[in-house]
Amino acid sequence: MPSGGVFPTTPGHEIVGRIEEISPEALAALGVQEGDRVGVRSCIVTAEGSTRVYGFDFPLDEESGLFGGYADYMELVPGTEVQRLCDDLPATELTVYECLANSATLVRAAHPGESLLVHGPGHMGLAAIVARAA
Amino acid sequence: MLRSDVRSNPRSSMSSAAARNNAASDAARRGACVRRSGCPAAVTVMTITTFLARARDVLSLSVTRQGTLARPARGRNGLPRAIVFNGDETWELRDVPKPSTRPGCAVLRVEAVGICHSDVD
Repeated sequence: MPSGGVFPTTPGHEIVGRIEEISPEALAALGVQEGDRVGVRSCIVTAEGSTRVYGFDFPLDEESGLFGGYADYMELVPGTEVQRLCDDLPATELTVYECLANSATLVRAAHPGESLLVHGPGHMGLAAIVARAA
Repeated sequence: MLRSDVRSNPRSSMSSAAARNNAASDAARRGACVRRSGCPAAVTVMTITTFLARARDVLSLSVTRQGTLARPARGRNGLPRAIVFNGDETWELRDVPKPSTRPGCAVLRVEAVGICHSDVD
């Protein structure tokens, strides 16, 4: 979850993009190749086991400073997870992947027969209903 | 680190930005209406609305229906761009070099990004 973050920073999570260049290590870790369209998981787990969030937790003076989606290019660091996304929808529409994934994850904790209260029928609330019905 | 050749006052070009983008123009008009109400809460709404309109314009957050990239990964002067939040509720559009691919890492060409309330709050 967003931590409150550091400043100055390049903001932006809910990122959709294409792999421009990839190192051999990242190629093995991410399972995607150059040209693939991906959604980027905001939260990364560092080698030390702590978590950092793209768009919030990376200061501008760290390496390129490009660790948020409000930019033409950004860096994906070790500990990143990505999900391949389809090519036949506009990238702008695909940015909802994160909200949908969050909602699906949240309702997964509910057991059969339990009621869920959706407090707010926004895109996440509606996604929670769809996920629960699935 | 990002280069500091910034456009330090992005709000100054808001009027031309709105003219280039119908959606941005709509947002700007809503912002103007809210601003006239003089309510402190509405000022926040205006700021966010102005930000959204400007961000949409400077990053041209749109792609073709087929999903291919419709915008170049650079600004008018030929360099890639990034928005920087300074931490004092101001932000800047900066020209930045394309990052190199470090060992263990990858470089992503950003096609689109969600604008979450947690970004601007």
